[in-house]
Amino acid sequence: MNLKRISVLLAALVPVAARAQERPSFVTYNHHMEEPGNLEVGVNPVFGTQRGGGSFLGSWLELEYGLKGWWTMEFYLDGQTTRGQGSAFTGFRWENRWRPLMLEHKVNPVLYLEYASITEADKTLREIVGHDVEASQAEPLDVTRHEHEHELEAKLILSSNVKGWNLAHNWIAEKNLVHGAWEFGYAVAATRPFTLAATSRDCSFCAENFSGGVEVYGGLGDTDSFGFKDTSHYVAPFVAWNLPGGTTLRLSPTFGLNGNSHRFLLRFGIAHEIALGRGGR
Amino acid sequence: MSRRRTTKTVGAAAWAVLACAQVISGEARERPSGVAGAPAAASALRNPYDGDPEAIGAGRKLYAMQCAKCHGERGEGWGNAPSLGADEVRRASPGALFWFLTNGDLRRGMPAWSRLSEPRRWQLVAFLKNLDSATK
Repeated sequence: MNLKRISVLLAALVPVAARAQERPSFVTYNHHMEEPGNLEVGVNPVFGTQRGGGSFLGSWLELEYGLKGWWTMEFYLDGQTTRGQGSAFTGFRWENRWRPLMLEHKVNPVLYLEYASITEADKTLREIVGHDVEASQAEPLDVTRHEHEHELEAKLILSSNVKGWNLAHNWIAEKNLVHGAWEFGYAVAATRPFTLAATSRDCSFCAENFSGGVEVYGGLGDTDSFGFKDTSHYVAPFVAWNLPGGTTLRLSPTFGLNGNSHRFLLRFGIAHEIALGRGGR
Repeated sequence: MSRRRTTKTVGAAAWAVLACAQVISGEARERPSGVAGAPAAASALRNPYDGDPEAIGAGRKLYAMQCAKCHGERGEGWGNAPSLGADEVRRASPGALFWFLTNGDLRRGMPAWSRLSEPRRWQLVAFLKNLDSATK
């Protein structure tokens, strides 16, 4: 193997900071996939108030990898701390997203499939389905940490780009693989960069590096009782700051929309993208 | 769930799968790979930033942030990522380049850059059409 070939191989193995734009919303997915060969590492804590229990800090560690231009895979590790009750690792999730259509359309579908092995103690609130309500999360950690669940979750993601805005709808169906009915949920989001055109100057704290919007999400009952009865719903403005080095910071104050919802959640996210090998293909 | 309802559900799912398959096969049949796959209407679009030095500068910055890791700092190409000095790219109209940036070539590893706003994609096109002078 000659020197040139060795240097090419080494270059391919050295991670390079990538600067793709992370999705600003926390719950709602759009049709923009991770770039092939890019690995995104992120931590996303969520602080929540809890009536009838201690306030909590849930969090997930996220590893997102672009396998193909049309296929993104993610792996999550979840945990939480509840005031006065302690901390717990609550499980893992493995998700896949596929774009069935290779060209951009007015509405772009993405198929999503996730397997989760988590406990009832999980408080990441990455999606709301079925009859997920605040009261069901008031159980003590010592009890819920022993209640293990295996879940399969499917989403239909529909996403459009319209006049600088991205409009995304997610329709969710989740099934506990051991027992229980199919549970349903939704999430919708509208996102826009603060400015549509870039400037020629290098800058960090400038409008072109920010994007924001609002998302609304909640449960839709289950196969036995489909609808809004005994469900919780949230509205969450969000803002994302894409730093030139490949790091994205996200913030989203979230407000419960009915009596079944947590009154307030505060989501924070930090993510960094790494290109695994030049070109990453 | 009644048998009739089950039949209807399965029928609807089968119809949806067939419809998707038809669109996917239609996409593959209609489209040559690369910039050459751009439809005539898209190729005819003019760049609103054509010749604008500020837009070319913004495009240079966007290129360095989003594209250079695959195509090289000067567009020389690397691995599967082609050189942007290739005839196909140099001869392509601004509209065709814009269309290709928007759609990418997902099967061959080129991401769809529709995540960037339209003005930013046009700024990238302005830079690409001035690549020789802009990288000097």
